[in-house]
Amino acid sequence: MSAIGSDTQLQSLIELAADDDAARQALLHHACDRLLRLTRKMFHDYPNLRRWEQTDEVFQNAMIRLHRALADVKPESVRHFFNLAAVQIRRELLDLVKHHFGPNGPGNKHHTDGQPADEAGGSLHDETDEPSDLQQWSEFHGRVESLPEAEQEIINLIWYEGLTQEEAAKLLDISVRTVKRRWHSARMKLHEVLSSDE
Amino acid sequence: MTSDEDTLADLLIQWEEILESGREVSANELCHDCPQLIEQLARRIKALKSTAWMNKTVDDDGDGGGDLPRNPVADDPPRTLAGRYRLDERIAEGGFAQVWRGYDLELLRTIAIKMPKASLVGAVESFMAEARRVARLKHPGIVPVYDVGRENDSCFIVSEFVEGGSLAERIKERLSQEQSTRWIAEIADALDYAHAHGVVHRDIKPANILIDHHGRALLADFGIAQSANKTGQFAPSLGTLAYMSPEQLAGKPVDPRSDIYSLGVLLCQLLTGKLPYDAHDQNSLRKEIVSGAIHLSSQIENPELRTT
Repeated sequence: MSAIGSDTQLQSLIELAADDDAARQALLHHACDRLLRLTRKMFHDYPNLRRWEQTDEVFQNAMIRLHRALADVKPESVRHFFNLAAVQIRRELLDLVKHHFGPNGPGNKHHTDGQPADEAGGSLHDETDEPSDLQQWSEFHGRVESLPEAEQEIINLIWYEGLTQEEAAKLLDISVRTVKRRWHSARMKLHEVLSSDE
Repeated sequence: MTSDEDTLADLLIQWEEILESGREVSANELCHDCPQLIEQLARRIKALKSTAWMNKTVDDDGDGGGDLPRNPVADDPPRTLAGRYRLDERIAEGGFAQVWRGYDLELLRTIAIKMPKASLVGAVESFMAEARRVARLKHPGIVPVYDVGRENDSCFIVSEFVEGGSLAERIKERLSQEQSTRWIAEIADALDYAHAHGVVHRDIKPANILIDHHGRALLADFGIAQSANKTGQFAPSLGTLAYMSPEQLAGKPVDPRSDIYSLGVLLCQLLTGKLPYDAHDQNSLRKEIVSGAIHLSSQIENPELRTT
């Protein structure tokens, strides 16, 4: 379960001072949990790699780096912390892809279910933009980086951090309707660049 | 006055709300008051459909959570390595390698064989170089390396098979003060020798201390963690977090003092029955280690020690 699973919990975190130790620990725990979940999702179609990620030092290394990066930051607010954490999580996910597609990366030998990506029917050929191999995931994370600030923040909060639209609205102090508009706008921009790469 | 952009944004929210209620509505239906926007709205609906996967909760993808299947035999090694070392039984699996009980078909003796996991195959050269260096360490408290070899893209290290199991199994029992301090002293002696020869262990923990049938403690996995770390592909696992030094956890260079810190944590655990930290989860444990928040227990939980 995510450490932040309800409006009440999020609200209490927001109300706590940024230097409140328990709140910071909860946020840190949440960030590590998100990295684990997003890694599993990214490696979903790579059963062999996914097993390695679960027990492998490469993933543990990523977790320790994430902790190091976030443990000592002095965030101005919970919103600031979430954005910092999302950037770090994205960086670790990109590093994991790079590791597995490096010169000796086992990902080079383990495409989806053993098929080359093209033969596996990459999702960009279907009606969904959902990445289906590690190269497409790398592309996705990179494209998020290039989104305008407001849209990138919405993706950070909703997709990387797993907040609901209502939680994001409270955190940003805007209406849920505005969150929906930015969420749509961000997704449309991502669709535009991801589908043009096809 | 509402701009086309505002209208389109509102229509998209309307489209989504209707979709969430279980019905799909077309751009034509939504744009009956603004037909000039049909084409743009249809394009945007298509974009949202293509990215609808982002609405799904990122969860465990139905794999049942943390208890994923263990690695298959890394990845399926041959049964006999280099035509000489037969793999009989996998006896341990760490974060970066598997250990097998095997049999040397030339010298007719039981051996231990360690093989890096496939994800570390890129580290073969430094793994082997380090194994060769460690093979030169000759000390009664260090598990001797007999041989190294290559097999396909990977490599393996052959060492003595220590029958008695590891300290990780013994630590569950009540150990006497005499027994605990003797084992720590033996390991400290082995570490002193290794440090004098320029080798830092980096992964001192109960699972890496083997107890032979004479009841003597031997240090295993010497320096192998170090070589893997040089490649940037390895860091001590969270499983050994409790024994890591602050500088190790902070990613700073480590030297023999790091091993001594880890041995101190282990000594504390053996004598008091618990780790010198109060943390109840990995996150707070990391924080306590980095901040140097050692809590030496005044309560000796080992009943035998209370009387000494």
